[in-house]
Amino acid sequence: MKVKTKDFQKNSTKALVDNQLQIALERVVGHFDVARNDAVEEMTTEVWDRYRDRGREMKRHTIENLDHYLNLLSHRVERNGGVVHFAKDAQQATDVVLEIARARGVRSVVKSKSMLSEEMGLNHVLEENGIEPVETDLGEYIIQLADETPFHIIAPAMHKSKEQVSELFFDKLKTKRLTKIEDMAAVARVTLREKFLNADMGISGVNFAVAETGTVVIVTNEGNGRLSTSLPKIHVALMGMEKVVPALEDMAVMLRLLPRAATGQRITSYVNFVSGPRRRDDEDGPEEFHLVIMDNGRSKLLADPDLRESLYCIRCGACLNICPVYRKVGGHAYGWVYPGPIGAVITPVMTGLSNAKDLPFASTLCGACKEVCPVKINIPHMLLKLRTQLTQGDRGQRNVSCLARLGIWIWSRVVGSQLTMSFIRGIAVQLQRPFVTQGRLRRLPFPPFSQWTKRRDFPALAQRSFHKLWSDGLKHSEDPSRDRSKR
Amino acid sequence: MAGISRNEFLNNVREALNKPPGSREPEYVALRVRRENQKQKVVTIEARVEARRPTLLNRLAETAARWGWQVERPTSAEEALRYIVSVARKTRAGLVVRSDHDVFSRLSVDANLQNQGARVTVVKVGRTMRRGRLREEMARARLGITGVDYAIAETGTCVLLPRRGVSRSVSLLPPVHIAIVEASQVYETLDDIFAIRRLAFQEGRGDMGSNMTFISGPSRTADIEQTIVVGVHGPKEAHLLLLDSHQT
Repeated sequence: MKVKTKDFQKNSTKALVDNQLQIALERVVGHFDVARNDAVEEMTTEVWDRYRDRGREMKRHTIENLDHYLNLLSHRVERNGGVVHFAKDAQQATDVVLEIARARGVRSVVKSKSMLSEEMGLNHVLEENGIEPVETDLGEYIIQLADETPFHIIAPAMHKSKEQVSELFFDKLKTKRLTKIEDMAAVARVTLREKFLNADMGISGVNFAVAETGTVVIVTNEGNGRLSTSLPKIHVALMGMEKVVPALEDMAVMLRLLPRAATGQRITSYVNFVSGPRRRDDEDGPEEFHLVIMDNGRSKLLADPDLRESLYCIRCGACLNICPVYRKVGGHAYGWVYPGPIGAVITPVMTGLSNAKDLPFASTLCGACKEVCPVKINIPHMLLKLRTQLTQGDRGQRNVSCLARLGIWIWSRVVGSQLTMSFIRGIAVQLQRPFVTQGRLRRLPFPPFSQWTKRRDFPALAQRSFHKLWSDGLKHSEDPSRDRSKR
Repeated sequence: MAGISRNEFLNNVREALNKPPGSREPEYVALRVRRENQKQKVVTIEARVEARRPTLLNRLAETAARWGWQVERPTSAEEALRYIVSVARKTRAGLVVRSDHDVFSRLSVDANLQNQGARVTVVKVGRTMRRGRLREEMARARLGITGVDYAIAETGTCVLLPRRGVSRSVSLLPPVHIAIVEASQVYETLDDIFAIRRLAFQEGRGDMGSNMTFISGPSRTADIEQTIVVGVHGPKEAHLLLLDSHQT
């Protein structure tokens, strides 16, 4: 997928003034978050927390021993009769898929949701090679018809209204103008069923891969995951290398974490465990099973001890739904496959920090993402680390301008001494007078202050400083709030 | 061949981890349990489940209904058959496909449906039925009936293990699915099922079959405006017929 992380500011500004988008964001992400909360409360926060700790510890152990578990997984998949391919980057993974498809004369492919194939930009490559790729998750199908990219990891078409979907179906599928969502789903069922029955190859993502048994686990609600891995003769599963878990019994914990954190479901309609191609006696199932394990920049995250835990992510999307920034700017602004807080960490590293300078700063560091993460990833900490890296820049070169450094030097002089501080404060309180309305500075006339007030207010300096209040007797009152209510 | 070798890939990972080659194998508790001990674990599970059976059946019925199954608990085999026939009639299923689970030898589903004028195809590749033909039948049928291999009370889940006589598609392609659950197949938690399947893996010399499917209610989507619609790809109606042990 084309990297557009450079345009973060431009694209978020566009999103902020898009009314329909703001309505969709409020409706969907708000809904997800309420549902997640309900699911957690039902099992109690204490129990939820225990599962989170277990999930986190399992992921920590696996990532610290990733070489071992990938080795085990690949051998077990082979023992099940599958073929394992290793890809260093998206290009290699794409070549693997093309090679399999070409060798078998594949002309049509059904796909169940895979973020990896978005990293690869696989659909366009398949089309260029005369192979028809069809996304079968309803949301992904809508996105494909609209020639867009997913807006959210688990709800790719959440930004589309039903009117827009209706228009899209009218335009691309030559349907009547549909008004009911059930009718739109029915159209998708009929259209895609035909594709399923005739496809030569099924491509799926992987939610988890169990090393011990050589099993890939696919979690879906629609059933398209089952269809694309059961009907076509060839099944190709695409996985990021961090998806491996050691033991089958680990799935009990992960299946309690993922659906609850993602949609507030206790379990999804379907969980599909695929251990290789069909056995000789099976009634159906693919004759060939291929597993593509991809790095594509993940080893850069692995190599950095500060960022390593970003690989614990199970892609539930909970951090997107809670993030005050994502909730306003939406998924497309982030400019690549993974949006939101976790995207702000992994996208810069995977696609190049210099092009994604805005992403680590697109956070208030409020910590809500860490609070909801089902494996307790410390996202704010990692965003700070990335900010540090960006500010310090590469060795020998500084990313901070002389002017900014002068400003910071002056600032440190001012706040470093009580005397200078109160002197400057006294002047500033007088100077700000003409600009204060209701305790706030709404517009300042000259830079750099005018830059700040262009988009937000600045709280005006108080008439009496805290220092003054304190020495005037605040420190003698035991409870300042009670003291105030007495007055 | 496109891509890189396993060794090259794993070396990159080791390098990123800053780990010398030939490091010791990690210790992981769940992987260290050998077959005899796993067997003991499963025996304990079976005993617990056996002792709690009536509670678990109620819990299964409750959670399953909550996640969208239409749950039916007949009090006799006749009542179970009547229910199946009534669903077939309501869906106007001229053609019914079913799996070859054991439960059908105890419940004469075919005869009862045929009496109502429905044609029943057992999905099992044989001399008369080839794969392509069976798939056509499954794609055309409006009703698919299967037994299950396990059911999970915690999540309201039916577990199917596709194999000879158990197609993946019977529970997937027709718009209506009836899953027949026998009391002895009901377990308590996800952990129970994974422990049992791990033992099967160990006892099957590292092969536990090509596929395992968890089904928890009908197929559903909320991809347009967060509105839940059932039956987008899989069945829109999922019936769970829960039989108590004395019935079959």
